[in-house]
Amino acid sequence: MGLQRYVLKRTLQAVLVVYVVATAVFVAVRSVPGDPARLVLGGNARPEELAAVRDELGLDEPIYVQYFDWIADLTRGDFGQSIFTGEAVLSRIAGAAEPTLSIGLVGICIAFLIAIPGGIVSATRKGKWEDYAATSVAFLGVSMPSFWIGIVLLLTASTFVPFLPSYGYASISDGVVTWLSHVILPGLAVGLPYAGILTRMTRSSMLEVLSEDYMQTARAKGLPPRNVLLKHGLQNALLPVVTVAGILFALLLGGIVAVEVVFGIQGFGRLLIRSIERQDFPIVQGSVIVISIIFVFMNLIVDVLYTSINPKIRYGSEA
Amino acid sequence: MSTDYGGHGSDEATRVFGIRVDRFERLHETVTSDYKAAFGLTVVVAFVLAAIFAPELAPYDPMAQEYAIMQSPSLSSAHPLGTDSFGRDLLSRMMHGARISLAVGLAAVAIAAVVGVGLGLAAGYYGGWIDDALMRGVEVLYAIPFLILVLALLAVLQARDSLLVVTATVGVVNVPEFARLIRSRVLAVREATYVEAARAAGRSHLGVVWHHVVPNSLGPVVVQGTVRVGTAILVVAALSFLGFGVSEPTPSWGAMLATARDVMLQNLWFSLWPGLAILVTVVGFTLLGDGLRDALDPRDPQ
Repeated sequence: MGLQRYVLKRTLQAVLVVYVVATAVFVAVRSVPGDPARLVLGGNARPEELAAVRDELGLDEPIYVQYFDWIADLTRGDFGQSIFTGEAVLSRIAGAAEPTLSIGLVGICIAFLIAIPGGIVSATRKGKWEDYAATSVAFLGVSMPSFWIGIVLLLTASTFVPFLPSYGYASISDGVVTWLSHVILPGLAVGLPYAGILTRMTRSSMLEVLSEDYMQTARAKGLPPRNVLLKHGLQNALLPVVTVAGILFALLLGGIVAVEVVFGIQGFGRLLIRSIERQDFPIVQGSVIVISIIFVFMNLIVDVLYTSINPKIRYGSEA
Repeated sequence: MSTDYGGHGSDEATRVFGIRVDRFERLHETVTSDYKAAFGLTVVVAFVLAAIFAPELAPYDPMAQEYAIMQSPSLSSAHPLGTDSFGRDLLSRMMHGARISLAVGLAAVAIAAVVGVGLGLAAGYYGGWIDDALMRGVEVLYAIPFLILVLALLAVLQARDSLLVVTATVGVVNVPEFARLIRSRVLAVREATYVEAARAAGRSHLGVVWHHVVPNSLGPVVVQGTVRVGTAILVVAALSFLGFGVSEPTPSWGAMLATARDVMLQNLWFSLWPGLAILVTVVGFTLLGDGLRDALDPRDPQ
């Protein structure tokens, strides 16, 4: 199977997963006992409001018509409107995306910056104190909730780095330094636990590569050890580590929700929590679908990149 | 894949809960020789005991407010971990908070293990459309980050204050993990000679699954379950930090951190203790799980 057919097949699979998620959301909201219109409007809605929402949601139509309308709207990019502000769900989510993406991006960068040197040191000094130190720190990192790391960072920074803003968000359009000073702590908070996971992965991947024959050959050829390690070793070891970056972002997103609360940042996580509190269902539905789209396609891109980079993998092989 | 695990069926070695007793002996060895597993076990037992006996052991009522020390929350011999801004004893609140974290974590994983094992057995043993349907479901659950999935489910169920619903939801999102694990084990065991022999000897499908497949697949479930309790505790902490499941004045570690967040610059201890408790508990369960893996994993006979 060629690359094109592989990409096509995986894209179709990805679309199918998103379609099932959308269907599941539809079924979930419709199967809640009671009137979805009341669910949408809350307990004290007036009858005429209920009727209006019922009409808008097409609740008087047969269920299959509602379902096809829902899917058709989604494919047109119409995710409905917020009950409270009337704003389109997609533009509401897009408006809250910048802080969240910024934290995620900084978090991933931090995770890689820590994990790759950490993993290399750990693997090359296996069984020595450096290895124990790196694996222990990685282990602790994985065992802490990121929002608590955020709280501790906030406490520490307010004492030792008082010029670092501890609250809110500044857009990247206000200048890179201002932006970075607002997202560095939240980025660390979500990045550190994932640095832990990545360090372990880099370590085991590196250990595997170090025992390969070609490493020995490279050493036997008399190449400088540094070259052997970085050029032959690291390049091959990093491939599987980079693959998890896609999955990593989805995991990060979960951590960011609580971290945004800690740092008072009005991002996607705060929007989601507020919408759940206010029972703004269209936004909750839209968020779940948007996230699943991001996640599924992120994985798709990583898979395709991975297969096209790695000559050992054939597209036909079922994963 | 080794064939040595339970290759003689379930009758030869003495078993407890489907795990051969000699593995328990190895577990004992592991715990006494592996200091990390021993530490994990100690932590888990200590926290479980503190949680169970919190009403007896806690020095104060976790809800009782002492107005005199409300303004000066600090460490003292009367309040070794200090008091919060409502004048409540933090040690007592921590001990009562442990009840919620551990109960929800353990119950959620128990739900996930029971449902997941059932589904995984069905999918792995029968294959076909059951398998396809299950694996598609798993993919869908994996397409949404854990915490966001739980939040969305809580929103749909309109039960943000119900600890029971939180527990069930955290359980449900953990189901795929167990279903996949047991499915792969079953696929490995399904074609084994002794399973074939049992079928030939006239055992029913259910009998084969129960007597041969289940005992040979439970070890990894126990290991995974132990590690997953730690993860569940992290999720529950995040949820109660966000105000789901438990609310003031009921003590829980996550909710204590939420309260602490508002006053953290005045007092470090509020935010330090609950976080450390979460960290130590999660470390404890993970180390115990790793130790159990070493002891139970039949593929690595040491």
